[in-house]
Amino acid sequence: MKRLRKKTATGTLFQLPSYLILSLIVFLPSFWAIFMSMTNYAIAGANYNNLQFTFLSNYFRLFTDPEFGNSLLITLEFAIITTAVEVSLSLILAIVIRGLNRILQYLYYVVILAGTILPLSVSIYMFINVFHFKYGILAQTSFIPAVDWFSSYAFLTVILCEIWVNIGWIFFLYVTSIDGVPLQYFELAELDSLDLIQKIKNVYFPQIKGVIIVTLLFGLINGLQSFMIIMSLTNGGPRNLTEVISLFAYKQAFKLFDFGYGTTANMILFLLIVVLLVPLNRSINPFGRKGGEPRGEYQETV
Amino acid sequence: MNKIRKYLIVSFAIVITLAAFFAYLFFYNANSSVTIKILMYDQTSGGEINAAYNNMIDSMPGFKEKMAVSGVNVSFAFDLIPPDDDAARTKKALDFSNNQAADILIMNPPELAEFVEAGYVYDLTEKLRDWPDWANYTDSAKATVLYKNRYYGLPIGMYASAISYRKDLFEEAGLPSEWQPKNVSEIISAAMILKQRFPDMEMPVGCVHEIFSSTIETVLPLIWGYGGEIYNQTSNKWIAKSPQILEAAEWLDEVYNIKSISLSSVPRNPNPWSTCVRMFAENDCAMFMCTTSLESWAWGPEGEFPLQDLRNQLGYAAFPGSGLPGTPAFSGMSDAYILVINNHCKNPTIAWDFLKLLNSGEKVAKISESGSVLSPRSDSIYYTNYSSNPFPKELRWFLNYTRIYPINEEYPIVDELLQHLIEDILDNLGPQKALDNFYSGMRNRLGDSKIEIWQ
Repeated sequence: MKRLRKKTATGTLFQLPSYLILSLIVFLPSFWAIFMSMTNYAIAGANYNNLQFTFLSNYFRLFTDPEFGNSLLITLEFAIITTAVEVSLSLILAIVIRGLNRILQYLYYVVILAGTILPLSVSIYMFINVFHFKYGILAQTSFIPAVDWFSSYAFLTVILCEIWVNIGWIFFLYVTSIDGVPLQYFELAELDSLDLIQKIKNVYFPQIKGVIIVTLLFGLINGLQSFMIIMSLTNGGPRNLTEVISLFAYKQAFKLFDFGYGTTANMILFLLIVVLLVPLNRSINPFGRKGGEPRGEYQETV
Repeated sequence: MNKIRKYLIVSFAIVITLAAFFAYLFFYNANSSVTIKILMYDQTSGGEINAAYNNMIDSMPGFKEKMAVSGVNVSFAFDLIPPDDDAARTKKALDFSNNQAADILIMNPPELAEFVEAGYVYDLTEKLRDWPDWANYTDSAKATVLYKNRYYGLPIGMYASAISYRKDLFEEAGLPSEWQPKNVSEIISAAMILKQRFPDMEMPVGCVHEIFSSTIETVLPLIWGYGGEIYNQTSNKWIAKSPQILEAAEWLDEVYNIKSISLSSVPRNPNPWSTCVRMFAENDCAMFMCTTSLESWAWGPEGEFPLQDLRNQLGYAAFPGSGLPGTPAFSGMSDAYILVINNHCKNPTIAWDFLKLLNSGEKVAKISESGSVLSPRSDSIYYTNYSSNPFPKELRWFLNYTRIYPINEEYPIVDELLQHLIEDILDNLGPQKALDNFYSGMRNRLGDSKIEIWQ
């Protein structure tokens, strides 16, 4: 018993530095952010010298702020649409491209991965050069009518850019996970003369369910946190139509210097991610199977 | 025991030696070595910023020598950042709040209020009073560094809102190449003539995305031109609704919706400034609302989109008033980049000495000449190099009719709401609806106690 206790103490001692580091880089800033959201902390202006603990007043202010309500809706719409399109489109692309010959496959890989592997700033710059109303590639082509992408279709434009930037890594996850599916499942599907929809339902989906869930989770997190693309393309405009919560928080904290209020908006974003993702993760339980178990059975259609 | 004593003696000796060494370093640095850190926009800025930067570089050796005579070793360190006003403002606030800010910083006047209120900026009022050169600064220049009756910096170059137009295209359309509209309606009629001659051209007025710029260019000059105000200096309240704001909105509505002389895409695309200057250089635009500071970095020989024959192609017109009785003949806004000293600067006197050197009459004239920017000093005309660039000399009279926007902590909020007003017009919501939205925005953001209505 004494020996066991000594062993535990030694183990705890070895773990202590990591706990300390974790506390410093994760817990301390988190608690600091919670504290800041309950203050009127500002990095400039008269409030800089007038720090006050305001408890929940920032939260009450936030829920009566129509601009924040608008941001909340836009964030949810943006995250759901981008995730749905990214996940479904990359799955379809992975399945379709898998059936092509090697050269065509590599060609498509380059096209699909371009948005993901390039630095984000370059991707955004390229996107602007394609969609610019006057000097963009689309505007220069005579067969596509000139469209005012960044104002009349601002929401659609930022969604397209987000999808283009993110689809590459989701696509590659599907390609590699489909490559891991045992060949006999596809042979059985051929014997059963399954069409593409049936193949997706009975072969692909059961075999790569875990990967789909992971991409759904990460896609949603990505969509909810999206900032850089929207800021660069529309800066939240026109008339706040693309102002997601992260942009709202940024504007409050770094443009209007109301750090306390901006942090409160970020806390709500954090809670939103937790509220949306934890039940989703638990209900589907992608890692619930025990090690060594097969990833799913081939399901007979008839 | 002896061993312990030995250890103690050796340890004590080491501690004393180290303490003496650090004390020497501390006092040596404190007494004779000073580093002045300067926050400046980088070389991509062009125009007066590059001229001001080169002026600093040129002035440093002489200043170092001068200070060395009095036993102080001065060195300089630059913190160069891209000329993005919005991002730079955030960086400055973060640097200040973390006590990491440079000793001398470049700023825009609207930033002054929020940084002064936080206690970040050194009050130069007394020093300026004792500096004879201060008398040579024009009133409009002094206004850019004035906040609550105290002075906080030195302007390095002025610019005024103006209409840039292409002289050659104007001639082609049958308009005079030396054009100066007498009222805002004449801007629209000239644009209509140009549209008839060049149907694919746009005449954009007002940019939306960039903070401060949209209000500088159009909205505030329009409101003033109609005889209105945005801030009541007597009651210290913002004017959230007035017939003049409505008239300004109606004028914008005429431009974008009724006469359709410009697409709403121009101010709304991700980089409106670059798009406008490019369109101007590539014959896609014959006139647009901007400021006098563009010429050098945009269309000059080293500009982003150089004009082949700058002198015969580029014209500037002062922004006119409304033409209504009792209103001003011209209604422009002036602005400047200013240099301020950090309130927590360890050596404000040395920083001030350097600022004085940077802003001597000759050096300011040189910045004005090489950066094509209006001089903040009235004595610049006496320096020969100033005369070599005709732009600053010819456009100097614009400053007689310009005003500085209210330097106030709440200005960024009002600016954002004015941008929303433009966006409402671009969305064809109508001037009255745009004004109603502006009013409700002002009420929500600033509260009833800080706004008033003019009938």
